[in-house]
Amino acid sequence: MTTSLAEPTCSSTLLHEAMFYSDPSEFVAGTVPFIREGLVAGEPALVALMPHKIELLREALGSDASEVTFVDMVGLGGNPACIIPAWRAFCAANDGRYARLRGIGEPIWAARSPVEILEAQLHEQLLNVAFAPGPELLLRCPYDTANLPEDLIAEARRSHPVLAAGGTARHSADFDGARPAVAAFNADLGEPPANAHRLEFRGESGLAAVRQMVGAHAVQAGLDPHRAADLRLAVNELVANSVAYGGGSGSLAVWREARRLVVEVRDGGWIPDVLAGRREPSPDSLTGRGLWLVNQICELVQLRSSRNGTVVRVHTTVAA
Amino acid sequence: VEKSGNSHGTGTSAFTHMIPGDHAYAVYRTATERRTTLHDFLKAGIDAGQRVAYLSGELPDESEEWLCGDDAVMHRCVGSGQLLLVGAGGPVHRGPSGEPCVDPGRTLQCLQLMADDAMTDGYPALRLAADGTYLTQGLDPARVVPFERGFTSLIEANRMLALCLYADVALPAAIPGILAAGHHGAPARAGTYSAAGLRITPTSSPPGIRLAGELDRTHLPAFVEALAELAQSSGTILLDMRSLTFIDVAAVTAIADTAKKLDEGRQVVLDSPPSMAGRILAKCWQGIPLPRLAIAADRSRPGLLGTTWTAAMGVASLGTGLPA
Repeated sequence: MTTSLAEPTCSSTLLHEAMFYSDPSEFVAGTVPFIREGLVAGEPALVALMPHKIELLREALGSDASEVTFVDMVGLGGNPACIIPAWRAFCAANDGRYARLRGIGEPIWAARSPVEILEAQLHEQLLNVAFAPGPELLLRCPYDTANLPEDLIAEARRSHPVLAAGGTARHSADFDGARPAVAAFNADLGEPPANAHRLEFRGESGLAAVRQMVGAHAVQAGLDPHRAADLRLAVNELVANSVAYGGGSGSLAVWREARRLVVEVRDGGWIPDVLAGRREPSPDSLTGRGLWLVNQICELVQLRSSRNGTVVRVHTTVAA
Repeated sequence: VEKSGNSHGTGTSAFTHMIPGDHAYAVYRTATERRTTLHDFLKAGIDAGQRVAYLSGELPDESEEWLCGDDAVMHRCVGSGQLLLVGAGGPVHRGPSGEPCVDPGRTLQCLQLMADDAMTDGYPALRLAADGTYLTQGLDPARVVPFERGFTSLIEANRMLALCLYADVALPAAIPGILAAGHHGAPARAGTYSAAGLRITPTSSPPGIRLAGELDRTHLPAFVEALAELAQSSGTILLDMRSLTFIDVAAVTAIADTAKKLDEGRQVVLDSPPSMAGRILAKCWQGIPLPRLAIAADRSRPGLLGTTWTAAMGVASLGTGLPA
């Protein structure tokens, strides 16, 4: 296989560790000394966890907690595609001021739905290729071995070059560099279900019909006007991308899955950048904001692209 | 041509394709014609996520039965409040809250309240169907035109469109001409761009354009051209978005780009942009100040006009206003 585009490589400035724990005391033992070490060295720390874990950590840190920035991972990482921008922004904000930063991020917990976990796993892989030269980021990702199935732990061993458990750290033999990130981004999400409502679109003139169809389904699903407006806007941007970069045409599919409304936009184009939609738009660019916006305003977004085409799915929770 | 003032064609597509800022009338001959026209007009608004309303002299239950029929989505929209059936239940005109609304001025006040409510509730627009025969009953035919013209002004100043339905049997011979005078239907002004759901009309003092409908990639070249022309003028550029219900990322980007290139002392003012404009700016220009871009939320309160986009985490702060 030959390609003129540079394959993504692992970011040299990221030290990406998985930290396995099975109870609160192991969690504290795997996080508190790690944060304190950084505080002693004067390194800024950002911690993204579920609220109850934040409380646990605050308590354990005592007065040191005021030196740490805490972020609710449920809000930040509801759509896992929004987590990398937060780490990148943390690095950018401290670039030139600090040589090293520390982070704790737990994007996967047992209560997450299968689709959310799939996206959080893609996120973990993409983290490895997401950082440009800048301050070094020591990022530790806690994994709850007591409540997560073994296959998720096995995947964590593949997506993290370093494994920490019981106060020791070792290199992961299963880590395979940047290739799995690309493979996960290229993966096939499968076809929409047979009962999906479909609309083929071609050219910009198809945009109004797309918005109308999405709007009709949003109303049927009982979305409030604000969320319906966001969904219409998001899908409009996805279809506009298909028209501009994806071969000029594509297909829209809408269906219900459990308690979610799923809207899929599919085209024959290829997005070579595995971080598309996760890079903050440059202020002067006239393009490249669509996918970013979609990630920012939608609850959960799945983006996959390969030489076979591009698929984007937007998931919205609806009332039962 | 988008503007539909006459009703004597067949089919209802002219009405389903109306855009905010439009005020049309339809004359129906049969109950079926009335129901189809009204149903399709309202349904198009429901699909577009708009607040839709039907004003008549009927009891709401009565309207719901003949209008919604077995359309479950329409019934559900009555329940959710997206579809309002405003009936007076008698010969006396009443507003949405049941207050007597016997004179045209009062009716227009009620309609303004409905438009405000639609915006407050988060709908991109208010799509109104009115039983014109009922609302103008008892009015001297000479007062129908001023009433409908007042209605047109109201529609143009809000994110609103309306279709007035008149029963053929109730119309004196002279009325069709009167109706045409009270509704849109005049040829478009010179310089107007009108295509596929969007109308761009030049305005002056300050130089600007009025946008009505939905602005997407289809219209981007025309919009960029209009912006480039305005950038050649001097002073403030006013983009009247009071009747704009959709704007996409590329159009907001074009506005930001235009604003950025303006000379010191000039600015682009967005008058009442639709909600997604703020959403796009907040998410895509987070932390990026755009000092030459201002948002005017309310023309009638000049002191509060002009909220300059400072992009401090998506919160705009008060800045300079429109020139008097």
